[in-house]
Amino acid sequence: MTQGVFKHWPNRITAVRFVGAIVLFAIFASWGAPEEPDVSRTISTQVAFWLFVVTALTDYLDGYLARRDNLVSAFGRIADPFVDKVLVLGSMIFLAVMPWSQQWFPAWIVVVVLAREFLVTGIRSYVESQGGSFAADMFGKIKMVVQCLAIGFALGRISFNWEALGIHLEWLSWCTHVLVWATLVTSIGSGLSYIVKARIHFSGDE
Amino acid sequence: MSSFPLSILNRLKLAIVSCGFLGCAPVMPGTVGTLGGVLFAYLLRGTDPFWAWCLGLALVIYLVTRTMGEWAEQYAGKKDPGIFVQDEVVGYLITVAWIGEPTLLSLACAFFAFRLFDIWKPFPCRLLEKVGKAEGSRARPGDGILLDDVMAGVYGLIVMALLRTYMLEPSSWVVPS
Repeated sequence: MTQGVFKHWPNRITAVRFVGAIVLFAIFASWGAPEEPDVSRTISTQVAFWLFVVTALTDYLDGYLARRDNLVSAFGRIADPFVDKVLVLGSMIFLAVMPWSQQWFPAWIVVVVLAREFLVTGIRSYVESQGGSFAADMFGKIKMVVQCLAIGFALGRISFNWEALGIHLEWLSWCTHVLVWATLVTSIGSGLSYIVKARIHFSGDE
Repeated sequence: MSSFPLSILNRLKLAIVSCGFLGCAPVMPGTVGTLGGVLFAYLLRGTDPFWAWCLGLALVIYLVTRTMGEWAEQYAGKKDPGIFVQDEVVGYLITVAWIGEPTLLSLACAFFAFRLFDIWKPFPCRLLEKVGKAEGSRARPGDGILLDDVMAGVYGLIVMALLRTYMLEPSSWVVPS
């Protein structure tokens, strides 16, 4: 563990985030498909919520530490975006399947988000194989934040006694709806901006 | 490391700076060493007021181990050596020093909160690491080893204060039906 790719903290954090995502999915799977539209609110919803919050928030940390301490590695460049996508897309797929959360995450929106990721990954690998640079832009980062907020709101809504805090569940429901639609818009928007960038890149080759 | 004579005094010093040899762990000594802080906080959980006992113990550990920074650096043969984990213990004790008795969940969350800030080292942790390194400085190298973790502990305390006030107490949870 002290040698190889896990010698330093950035890759360790990436690995811990991956394990966190797998545990999160195991918790989702353990809920099964309850008959009621609301999942039974137990300690596992709390754990799922916090697990998602921590794994999503530490997305920034591994890349930041790697750049700051000059520890950027091929493993990290591949594993970090991989873990991000497993976490976010995996969570969205589970939320689209589980009966209690289907109302906010229609399958077709998840399909559009997935399609966008495949398209951008394809464009990026081609451009970078040609020696070009194709880093994530601000639009893509906003998309990631909006996606995480949408999932966080859906999980947070069922995890706490919001009514006791004077916050109506209906408000949170509306916030989740808005965030999921914002996810759709930012996914399509950032996907289009990558296509435009790729066109500029390819037209420069000709 | 092995060239150092293992006299009884050196063994005692090693036991102190490594928090009972936790810092001698072959993997992730900082993370393992923080568990020493968790044990101290667990043993202190019945005290009243808990936060004052934690800060008091943190202060005592700080004052004792700041004098042993040079020794630990010579023993390990490098700066900020992994065997010195009392900085993690002090930082963790600051992170948990909040009003009221902590639950086991709070102690576990504090462990992750403190390690997060300790690894991240947000401003001004990296400046504090350099304390005691300059010529003619009144501070000792041990201060540089300890102070960045004290700052990480303060950040951790802010997070834990918010979490324990709003989230981590069972009263804020939905009771299963």
